[in-house]
Amino acid sequence: MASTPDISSDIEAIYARHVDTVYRVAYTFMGNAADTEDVVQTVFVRLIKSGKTFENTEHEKAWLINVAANYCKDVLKSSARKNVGLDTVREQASTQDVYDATLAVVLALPERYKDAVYLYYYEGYTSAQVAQILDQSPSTVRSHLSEARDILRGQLRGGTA
Amino acid sequence: MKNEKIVHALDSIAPDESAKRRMLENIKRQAGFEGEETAADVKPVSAVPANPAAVSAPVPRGETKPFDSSAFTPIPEASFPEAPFEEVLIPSEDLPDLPHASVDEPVTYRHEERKQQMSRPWAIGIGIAACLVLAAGVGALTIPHFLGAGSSDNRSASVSMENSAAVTGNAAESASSGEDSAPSIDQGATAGPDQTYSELSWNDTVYAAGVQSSDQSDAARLDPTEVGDSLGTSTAASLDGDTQDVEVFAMVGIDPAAAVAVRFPSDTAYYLYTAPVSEIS
Repeated sequence: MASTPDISSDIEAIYARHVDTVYRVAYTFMGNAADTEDVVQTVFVRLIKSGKTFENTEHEKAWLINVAANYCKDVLKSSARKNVGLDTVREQASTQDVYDATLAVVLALPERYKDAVYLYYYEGYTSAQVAQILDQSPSTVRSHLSEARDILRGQLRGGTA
Repeated sequence: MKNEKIVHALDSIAPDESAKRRMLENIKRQAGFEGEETAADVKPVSAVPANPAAVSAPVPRGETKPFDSSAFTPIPEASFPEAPFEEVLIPSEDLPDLPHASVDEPVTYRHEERKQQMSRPWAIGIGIAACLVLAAGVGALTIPHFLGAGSSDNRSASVSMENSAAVTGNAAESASSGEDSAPSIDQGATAGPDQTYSELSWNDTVYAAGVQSSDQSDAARLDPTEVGDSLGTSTAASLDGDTQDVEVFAMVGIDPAAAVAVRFPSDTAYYLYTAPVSEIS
């Protein structure tokens, strides 16, 4: 059953339901509000132009998260951006709109871990669901989560010590 | 691992309401529609007659009907999509210089081009006529040359004819007669050894002497290239007393006092006469 037979007429409702999620996913990759807003707009425009119909809101949300994460990776790859060090991120956090040292550590994670960490820790999905959303194998997701957990543990202990 | 810290950190990431509205407007604009009204809802003005009776009322012949704006439904201003680009004003000094950009100079390019196109057949015709005239001129100058006109012989002949009418002749000295038509003048025929050809004047009678040989076919016959300018006409006397009008020429590179060339009217050949000659006045 398609919940959104006419995407263009229902875009505001879809936007209201998922803008925060798409924004958070994009922010974990981009690290600043301006680039994040660009990503959010692009993702929803793609949704409108795709004419895609979804089985339910969860399906809708998963599609948006997947598109947002992949688009962020493409942007970061095409713009030849490099992962900045944690010190740089912490310095940005003190002057920009990052309020928590933990968030700075999450933002400093390698890109391949970010979407899985967000979905697993914040959205509460299981590793199998994360694998399904990201179109990856469950073992890959579990491996990424394990590696990310080690990094976070080390950074947070070092930062709080 | 403190999941709460991660959740709390990520939870702090959220757009404010103004950012949400701004992004939504941008999304609608980029997607090609604005607000609730879609492109399908915007209809042409003429297709929405609000007062069909006013539109279709007949107008008597010869009268004009004032425009009734109430018969048409204006298009809501909000239905026009916003321009996708911001207007950028470029300073006039940054604009490149374009041809015919000045208001003072009317644009005449197409007019001039048409004039040029119309005048091309005339230009081609004038060119062909000029070529024909040039070819005719060149032919008139070159063809007579190849037919023999304008040679040096004719030029000398003209000189001879000019002066031959005034040739006077006196009695010749003794001369030996010869069988050749050409004269064979003996050296002893000279009347005055002091006279030289250089002292001759036009129309004087020349008593030529010093012919190297009485035989015309001998060395006395000259190569025409050795003959210089015409000195005039004179009269040559043979030993038997016959006289002939002759034309006297200088020798190339030789003082006329030493030798001259003589051409008889009956012969086109030149013969060498050596000085001294005498003048008999």
